[in-house]
Amino acid sequence: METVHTYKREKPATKRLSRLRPIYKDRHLYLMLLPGLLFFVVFKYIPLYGIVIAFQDYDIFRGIRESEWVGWATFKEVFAYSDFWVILGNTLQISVYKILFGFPAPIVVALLLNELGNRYFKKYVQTILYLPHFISWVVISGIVLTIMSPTNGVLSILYEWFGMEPKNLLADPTAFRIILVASDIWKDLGWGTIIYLAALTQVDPSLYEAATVDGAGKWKQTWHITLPGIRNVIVLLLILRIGLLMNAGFEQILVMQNSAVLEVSEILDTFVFKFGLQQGNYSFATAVGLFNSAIALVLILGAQWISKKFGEEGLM
Amino acid sequence: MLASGDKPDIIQIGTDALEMKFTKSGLLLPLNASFDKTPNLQKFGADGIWDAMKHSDGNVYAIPIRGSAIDNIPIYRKDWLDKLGLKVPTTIDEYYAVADAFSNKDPDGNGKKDTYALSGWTANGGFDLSTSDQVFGAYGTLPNSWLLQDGKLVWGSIVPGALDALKFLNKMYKGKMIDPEFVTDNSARFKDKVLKGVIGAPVYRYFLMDSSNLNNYYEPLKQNNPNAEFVEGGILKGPGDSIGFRMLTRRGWLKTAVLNSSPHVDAALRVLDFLASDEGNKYMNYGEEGVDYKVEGDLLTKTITDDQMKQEGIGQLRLAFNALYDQTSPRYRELFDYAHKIGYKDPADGLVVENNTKQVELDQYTGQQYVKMIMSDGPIDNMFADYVKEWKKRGGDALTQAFNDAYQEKNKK
Repeated sequence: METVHTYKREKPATKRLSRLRPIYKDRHLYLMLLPGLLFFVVFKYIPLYGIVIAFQDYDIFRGIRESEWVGWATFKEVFAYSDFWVILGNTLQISVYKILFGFPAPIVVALLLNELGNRYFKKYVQTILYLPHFISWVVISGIVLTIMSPTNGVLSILYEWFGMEPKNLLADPTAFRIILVASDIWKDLGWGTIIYLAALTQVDPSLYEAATVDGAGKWKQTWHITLPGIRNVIVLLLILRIGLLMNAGFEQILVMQNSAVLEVSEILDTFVFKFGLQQGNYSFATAVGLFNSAIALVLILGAQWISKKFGEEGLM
Repeated sequence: MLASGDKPDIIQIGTDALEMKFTKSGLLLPLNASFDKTPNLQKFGADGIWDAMKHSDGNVYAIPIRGSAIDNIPIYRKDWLDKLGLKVPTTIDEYYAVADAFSNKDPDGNGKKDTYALSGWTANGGFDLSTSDQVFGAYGTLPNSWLLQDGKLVWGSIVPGALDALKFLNKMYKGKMIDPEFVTDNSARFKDKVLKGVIGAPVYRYFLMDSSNLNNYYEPLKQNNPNAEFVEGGILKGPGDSIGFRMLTRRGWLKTAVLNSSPHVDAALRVLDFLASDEGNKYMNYGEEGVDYKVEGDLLTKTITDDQMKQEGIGQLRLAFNALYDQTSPRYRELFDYAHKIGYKDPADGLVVENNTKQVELDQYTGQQYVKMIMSDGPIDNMFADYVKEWKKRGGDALTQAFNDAYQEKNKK
């Protein structure tokens, strides 16, 4: 009886200890986690405080504490801007195009590379595809201008061969969007394939052997073994990509756009740059940024919810 | 620097909007209050700069950078004119003939259609409308600039003359006299094309013709083609009254101000007063005499390279640009004077209204619509009417009213 009593009294203490024990056991791992956590707290969470300037008439010399509070006035100003809805539409449209065509591209290339027999050739191709990722948009825009130039570009020679009148495609609203999406895919194709190639190595080779024995061809193997094998990675990257939907490519568009295509290429980020930051309207810029983040949050949670519905793991 | 809470004594501001904002918050020191202590500074802007900088409370809060008040004049390839037996055009019809010959009669003699009369450039997604000022000026207007009509300010982009000019440009575009890349090129590519002999009759920097090569235009031109020569043109005579070429705002593209909160106000003012003096101005622009530059007669020559200048910090905090070009070549001074003679002074210069961001927005919209009209296949009368209506609706009317109010207010005094 007494022993039981003693046991009962000690129970809470033991339980607390048992909860702490695994932490103590892995203390080195937690210690290693600390710098990463600290990074997020210092550089990501604490600066969140700055959001308040969206609700202020912010003045850089007075600072956040002394600037005047204006409530939702800045947001009203943003939404009242004549072209705001056009700009929002452009942002979504360009971004959706980029996901629609740009997201599957690295998967296809990774699958193709995976089938290559010659290891050296594979590495060679992979490196070349990978290089444009390191070139800045300013340089790429110069390359695009030079290729597309109707007066002295490569394309103008092609036009001449076919006996057609050279056109300035960069000043054509339809062509401009295609150029935006295509140059974006070209730049980041190689970078995107790396993750898929890594995921492909995880697929169990015995499955392919079994499939070959059963008489499945390359197509069947790709469809029934390879793709399901990397499905979780695809879904994960898609969710992350959807979270970036509001970023339609600031640098790229800023250096490539011109007056002739402004109405199809002005996006929220370039708009913020021109009317917020360049004019010193920091509150304006923050308000648009906050609006951006709110939509991105909804999108990422939506994508997460859908992926869970389909029985995938998702992010959380 | 600002975020650290360590406030500077002297700051430099880029835009009018920012200057207004800081002034409204009472951050800047009124400079005119201590003009008696800073005689050089007072003299610096006596010829109208302080008038342009004056706020509605009568105070001057910032010193604008002083320099050439105009950048662009009409220029023509002289060697091309000579070859084709043409003269520098004086009327808009003569200009059309020259433009046609420059574009379609192979002035460079390489057997290919690869030359144009006119082009333009885009910066930050907006088309620079000053690149066809000679055409607009011939029709008595300048886009994105104020005009004075019957004592009232009128926006130059929406007057009927602008439509005539746009029709002229549209005709030029259809006749392949405007480079199809006029809207996609940036200013670097435009410069390259002028120096390489692709564009023959643009509106461009007058310093291009200065053989002292102060701004590095002349030598590259000669390197590309030793025979190349540019000659300046004048205001083109149009159907009505013509006007000249847009001058830059006297409010400057960079303004220097002293912060009210500075504990070293006197020292800051002393520095600015020194920089505003002839001696300080020369020192800031060229460095030390005998070390960084030499003077022969009344001409000044730099003896160190631009990179060395940068390393030594020459030209980092200046109130005037290149010491007002006083010490360069005689040809330079001639061009400088000529450019200022054919310039058109914005009647609203120095007027500042609330919400200047609106103007940035409207200018961008104008550039967009103008480009569409220049490139249009069909007639543009309806497009122009729609543009004017939309411009007014987007706040153009309110802006015009605000500027007129400010104009009346200023002229009353």
